[in-house]
Amino acid sequence: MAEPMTLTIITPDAVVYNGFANFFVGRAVDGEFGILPNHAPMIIALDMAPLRVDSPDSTSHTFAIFGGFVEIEHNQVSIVTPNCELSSDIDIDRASRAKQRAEERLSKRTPDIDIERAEHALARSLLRLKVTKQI
Amino acid sequence: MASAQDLRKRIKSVTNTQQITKAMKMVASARLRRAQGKAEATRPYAEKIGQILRRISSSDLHDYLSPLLEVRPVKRTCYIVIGADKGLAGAFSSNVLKKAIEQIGDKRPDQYRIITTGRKPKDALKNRHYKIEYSYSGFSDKPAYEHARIIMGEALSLYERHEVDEVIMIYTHFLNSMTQIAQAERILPLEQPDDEVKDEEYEFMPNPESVLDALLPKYLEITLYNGLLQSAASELGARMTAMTSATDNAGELISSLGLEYNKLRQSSITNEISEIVGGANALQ
Repeated sequence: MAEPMTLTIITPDAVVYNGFANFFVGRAVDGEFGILPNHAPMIIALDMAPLRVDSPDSTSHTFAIFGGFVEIEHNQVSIVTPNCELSSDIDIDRASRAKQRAEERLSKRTPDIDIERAEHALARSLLRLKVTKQI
Repeated sequence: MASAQDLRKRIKSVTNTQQITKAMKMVASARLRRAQGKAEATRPYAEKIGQILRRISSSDLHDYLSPLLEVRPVKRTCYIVIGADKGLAGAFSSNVLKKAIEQIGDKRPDQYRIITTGRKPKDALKNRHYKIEYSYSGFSDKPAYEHARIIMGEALSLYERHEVDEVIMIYTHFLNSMTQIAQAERILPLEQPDDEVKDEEYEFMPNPESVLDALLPKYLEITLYNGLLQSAASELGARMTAMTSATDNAGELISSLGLEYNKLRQSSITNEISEIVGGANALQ
């Protein structure tokens, strides 16, 4: 097997993940992709979607990625994202409550609500639930 | 001349004030360290975003020009004024205000839009009859990325609706805890980085244009976030310096009042003794 790539996930507040990976799957703006080590230099715009990273020690981590970019160069992958959560850190109760709240707001459609914001909140909570395999 | 009792009272009150300023100094210095750490932690992210932006700029964009890079004739300007929620930070707030007023100059109210963060700039600008479009407060010494995202969202939507043709951020650059400089920086339209890195061909997914479109708002957000963090560190630094000098001044005042009090006490004792001695002599 090829030498594993180094993978770093960077958010504005911290470096969330820094390690090796044999493979990772994510979703770009135009569809899903998987990257193996020694990929050609590339920049990818990410969608709000789960990201799975397979480490060489045959464990895998799933992250909720809220948009961002992947940069690949010389077997070194940097993922820059405004926000990223590890699946085991997600509060499932809170996410499902947020989903309910957003759905309620969207179904009532009272004039004082911000539809765009509610849709955003719904998308975020759905992603969190998806990453934690609740739906 | 103050009486001994008055002096005692003043010494006590100054001592109390000194205790307060000392506590505020400690709080500010502890928070400053945290704010500096936070500003430091955003650097990898900002650098990476900047690097990706340069990579895209040096690739073939098929003559695509993002609206965020397009320079339009400036009819209206949006100012984002980043200030403090609380005072007692020396000249911090007035420096920001001075810079903002200098930037706005003699523009008519329909030629600018103002977005403020922090209570101080909002109140000060309002008192001077400037019209304020949006104001945010409650996070001046501990901003989060989310705040930068919301504020940038408002500024971007003004820009995209052609309500403003440029966006200027007024913030305080943090050099060290003694020196902070209020600065104005144009953040929109963005300047194309010209230091091209032509070392490697990159592929883009889905294509350079849409990566660029997704990247530019992120770049702006991190620029604004950096401005917020710099201002937060500056505010705390200015407060720490102001409170240090207030504590020192209180110390000086206490010692000079103490000296005066002791002199007064001594002279009254001397007086008493001479009276007693005088009385005893008169009896002989």
